[in-house]
Amino acid sequence: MSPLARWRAGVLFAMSAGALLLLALAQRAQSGYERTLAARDATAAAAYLTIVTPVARRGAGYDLPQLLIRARALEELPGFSGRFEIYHATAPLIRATAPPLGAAALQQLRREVAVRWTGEAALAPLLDRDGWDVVGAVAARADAGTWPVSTWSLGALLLLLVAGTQSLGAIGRPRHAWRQSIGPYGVVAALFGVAVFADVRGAAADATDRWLYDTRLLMQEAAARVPEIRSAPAGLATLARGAEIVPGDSGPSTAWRRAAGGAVRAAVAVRLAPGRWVELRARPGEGEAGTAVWLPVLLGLAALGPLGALLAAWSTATAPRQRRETVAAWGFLAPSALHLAAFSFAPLLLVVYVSLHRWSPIEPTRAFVALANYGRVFRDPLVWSALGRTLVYALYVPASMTLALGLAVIIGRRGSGAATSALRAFFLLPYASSVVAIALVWQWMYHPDFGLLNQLLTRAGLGPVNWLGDPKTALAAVMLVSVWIHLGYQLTVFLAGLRAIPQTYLDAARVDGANAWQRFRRVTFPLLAPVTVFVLVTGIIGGFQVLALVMVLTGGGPLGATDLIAYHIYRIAWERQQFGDASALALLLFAVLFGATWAQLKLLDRRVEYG
Amino acid sequence: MASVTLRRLAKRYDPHGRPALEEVSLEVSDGEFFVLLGPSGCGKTTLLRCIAGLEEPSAGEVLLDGRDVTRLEPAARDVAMVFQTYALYPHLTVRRNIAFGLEVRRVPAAEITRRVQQAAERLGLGTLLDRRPGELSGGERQRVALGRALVREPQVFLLDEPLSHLEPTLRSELRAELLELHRALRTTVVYVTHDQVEAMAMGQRIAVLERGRLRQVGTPAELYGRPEDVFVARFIGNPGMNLLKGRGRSTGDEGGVVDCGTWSVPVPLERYEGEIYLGVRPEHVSLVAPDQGVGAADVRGVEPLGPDTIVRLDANGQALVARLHGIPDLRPGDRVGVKLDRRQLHLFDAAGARMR
Amino acid sequence: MGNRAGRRGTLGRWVSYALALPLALLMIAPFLYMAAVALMSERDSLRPPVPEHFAAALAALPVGRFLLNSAIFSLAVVAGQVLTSATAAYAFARLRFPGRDRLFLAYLCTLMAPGVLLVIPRFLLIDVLGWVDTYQGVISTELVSVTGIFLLRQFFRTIPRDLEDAARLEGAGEWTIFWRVIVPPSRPALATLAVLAFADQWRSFLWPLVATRSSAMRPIEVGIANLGGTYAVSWSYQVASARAAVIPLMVLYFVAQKYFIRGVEETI
Repeated sequence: MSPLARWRAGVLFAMSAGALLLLALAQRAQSGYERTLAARDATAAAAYLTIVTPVARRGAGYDLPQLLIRARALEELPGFSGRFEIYHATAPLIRATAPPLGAAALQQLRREVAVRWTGEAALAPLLDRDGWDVVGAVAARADAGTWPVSTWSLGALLLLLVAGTQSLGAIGRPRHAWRQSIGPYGVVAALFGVAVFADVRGAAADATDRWLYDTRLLMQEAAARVPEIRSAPAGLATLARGAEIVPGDSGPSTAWRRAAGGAVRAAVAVRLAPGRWVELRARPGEGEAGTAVWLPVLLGLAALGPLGALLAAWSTATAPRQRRETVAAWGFLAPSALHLAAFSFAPLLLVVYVSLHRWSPIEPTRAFVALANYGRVFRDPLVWSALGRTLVYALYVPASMTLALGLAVIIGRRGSGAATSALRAFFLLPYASSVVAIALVWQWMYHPDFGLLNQLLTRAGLGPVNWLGDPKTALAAVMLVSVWIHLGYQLTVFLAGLRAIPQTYLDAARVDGANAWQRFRRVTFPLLAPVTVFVLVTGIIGGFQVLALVMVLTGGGPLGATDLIAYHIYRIAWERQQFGDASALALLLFAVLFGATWAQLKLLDRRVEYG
Repeated sequence: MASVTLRRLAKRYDPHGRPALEEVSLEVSDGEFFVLLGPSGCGKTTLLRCIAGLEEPSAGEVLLDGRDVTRLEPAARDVAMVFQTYALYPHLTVRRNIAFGLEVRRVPAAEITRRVQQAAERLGLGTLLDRRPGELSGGERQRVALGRALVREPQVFLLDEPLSHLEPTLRSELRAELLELHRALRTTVVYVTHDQVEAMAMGQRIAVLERGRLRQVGTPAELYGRPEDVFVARFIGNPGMNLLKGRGRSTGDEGGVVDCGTWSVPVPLERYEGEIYLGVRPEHVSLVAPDQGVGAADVRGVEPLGPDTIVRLDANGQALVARLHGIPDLRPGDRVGVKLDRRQLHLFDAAGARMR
Repeated sequence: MGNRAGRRGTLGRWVSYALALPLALLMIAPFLYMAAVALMSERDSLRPPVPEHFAAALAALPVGRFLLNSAIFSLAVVAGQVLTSATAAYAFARLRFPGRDRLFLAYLCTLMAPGVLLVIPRFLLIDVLGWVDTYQGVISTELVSVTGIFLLRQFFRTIPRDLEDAARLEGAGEWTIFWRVIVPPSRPALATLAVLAFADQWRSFLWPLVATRSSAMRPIEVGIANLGGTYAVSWSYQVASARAAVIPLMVLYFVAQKYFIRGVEETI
């Protein structure tokens, strides 16, 4: 077998495995829904029998002839889709010739009082009127399931076959040839995956609908036979387990979807008596992550074929060395790539999803609200004032940069290596230390009565200032701490930038007669421009992310005077528990910062070339 | 030991740019000391890396001892290479540097010790074995790099400008040592250099490359005595061959002249009319009284070297260099007569290819 | 002439130090303040009246547990980041494969996501995994550092390619080349990354705050943070806790200062 034939065989296997597994999975999902339906139908029928069958004159059990009649009547209910056998103890009632229920199965039911499966049938316990004892069972056969896919899916499958054959033939041909055929194959495969997913979803919806329809029939039948139920529909709750009965109006007999309480519900109108209607509501089988989990699984399986073809086509069209190098590279990248996919890229997608929902960790329902969260944070005056405050706060960056640049120029001159690095070590100390500890210490430096700052001010006769307690001074006080933290970092960066400027330029300027200020203004500063832009932009971006400092130092106060945007977002999420709003606002902030970084990169594109 | 054969080897880095190598075919015989010579950027290092397997050729084949190794990994080719930068592992001692290749190939420890010892003795590295590359001089590093290649006992040695980073005296010393080593081992060597003196001194045969194309392959004597085109003529020799542009004119019965300005140089030329290059090596130019020889020229510069003197002349607006014995009494501005050795004239056509 | 210029240079240098030195003292004043408080007796320090003392502070909060947690987090993150960054940086710096530059750009894009954005979905993620308030919950998200990959990639690119080619010729595979040719001369860069990763994790605040609930799981930064905001707690209590958080960082800073500085310089 030549390598090419081997690749083709492998791809053929991946293609068929992908398509067949997909179909098998869809079939499995659908039969799962059928089984759920059978179990629910059996439970409902058992509850129905409990409600409508009169008790025997003597003893606690049902009147057997009546039970027999009611059971047989179930078969005749028009439109009822359940196929039942009802056992009294182990004896079958509807079809007398059917085999009796196994004694062991009945024992099991007695012990567990829950739906069990025997082969293809769901076995629901039939309780006596008091609900104490299991007197029999209702067996409902699950539909074996029809052909698992719709015509749409069949069409997609046909297309898939064509595209797959095309791709199979393209393996081993030049790059542009296989690119042309594998692209469409991928699209068709995705289409097929989506079509099958739609089928699965449809099956789930259908199962819910049929269950609601059947339950409706049983409820109406019970109401017809037991008059007292008509005025007290709560008595039907055992019949409609898993759904809720709410007052309602007349409506069609088939289930429909309606929004209720921020979530979509499947509903059906039940007529208990002329003019007396209730509505039966349930979670739709297809909604609320009921089927959503299938989509990635199905799409993943659908992608198996195209990915295999891509791999094979690339492998056969690529020189062995490059292939080996690529495989090695992915080996080296695997840990970081998987980690980023799981802990960075997936969360970024998730946060977009969260931002489109009303989402709170303390509330289980998460209603889709489209862009409402964005609109709300956009209109929130507190958000705008936090943004404005953050812009003011970010002014500390140019301020401390000026200081850092001045320092760098005066201590960064030639021939003073040891002294400069000793000084730099002092300046960098706050940057290397912990923000929370810094905030704690500065809190006491700023203490209105006992703080070092006010002690000095009082001695100078300037009176104490309530630095952090006064809304007028609090932001400035936070900015001062920020300058103190970042000065050393900026100094270090500027010193490195200065070192990178060739001394010959300065010497040339000196020979040309420039004085110290002119040398700085005309030579040093322009050559430092990229470093300056970098420090400025990254500093401002950092300013938009300041959180721990204000949280510990001021808690955003007083009166919100130091409520910076990142801290504001934090509080929306973790104090107000509004994850949706917080996500929306954080994404908006992300977009702005992303734009700023992009602009900086464009600016720095014109890097200075030392020639 | 093995021969190296290249068949129409080509390499392109950029699909739209100039190829780094254009259909180079070569045959290096077993045990030969073969030199690839050319100016920087001519593709000689690319060629060497293709032989080593570090570059994959865009087309063509590489054969080692008749076996096609074009698609083989470098490790599977059994060749050793000495890099221009030596590429010594900075964190390993000399001993471990030399042993690295053997360790990777899981040669038994005792065998490694023996072979490292042997290589160290051969190269006089005995006292340096426990130092790190950072503590060695250029010449010592060069020897370690050589030792690392030697210890592998490969079929072919590939040397990429191994002496270019050394000072001139050390360079000539190591040149002799390398030749000595080659005589002792009899292994095939492919040696890359841009220095034509080095190439002439070392190569049994030399291939001259220019802009990715093979210009000429031959022994040093062939390259010097019978360059195939003007590039080789100019490149080999120091200074290179004089090339005077002129017009060839046939004078009948196997005779002809080349007219360069006011000069008419008689040459053996049949039925040729048109532009021509007249080549003559500086040592075949002699100076006579202004009214003698083929014509007169002005002295532009005099560079006494000791045994010889290089005299730069202006002959009808064309530069001409003469190499004279001793130190003649000449000054810039002097007018002299020029005589060319008629038996040592080379003729190239307008495209630069050798005639006849 | 040269003499005069020399004298002027010396004078200028003294003037510049005279300017810079007070500022430098100002920089370390809060640290001195912090240290001084521990040495001063209750009476002669400038402080509000306090009943507690340093030992009491340590007893009230499980500072020892906080410090242990911080050390565990930091060491685990250092190990993870150095390993994943080195391998990824090697692939980006040295290996050729389709889509390399685009993938690297995608890596870099994650750097721009603000921390406060990422904590929300990451919290939901570890909540699903049942990792809230566990060590793996805090550590897992921090095991890869794109900054670290960038830093090491820059360094790996300065290692001559010839070294790699030489090893390849001698029969070394990619892993051998990475492990025996690239990693050993990169020790300074790896040390820089390790020091930065340790300090950053030690100082990290937001994620541990969100991902932990019990004080048994909290690192020191989060553990002492709620001392702030009010002046209710005592001075020495607060300073003692701050000092506990800072001392390990200061020790690291003074031992590995050159790596800190290299780390800062490498970012530009």
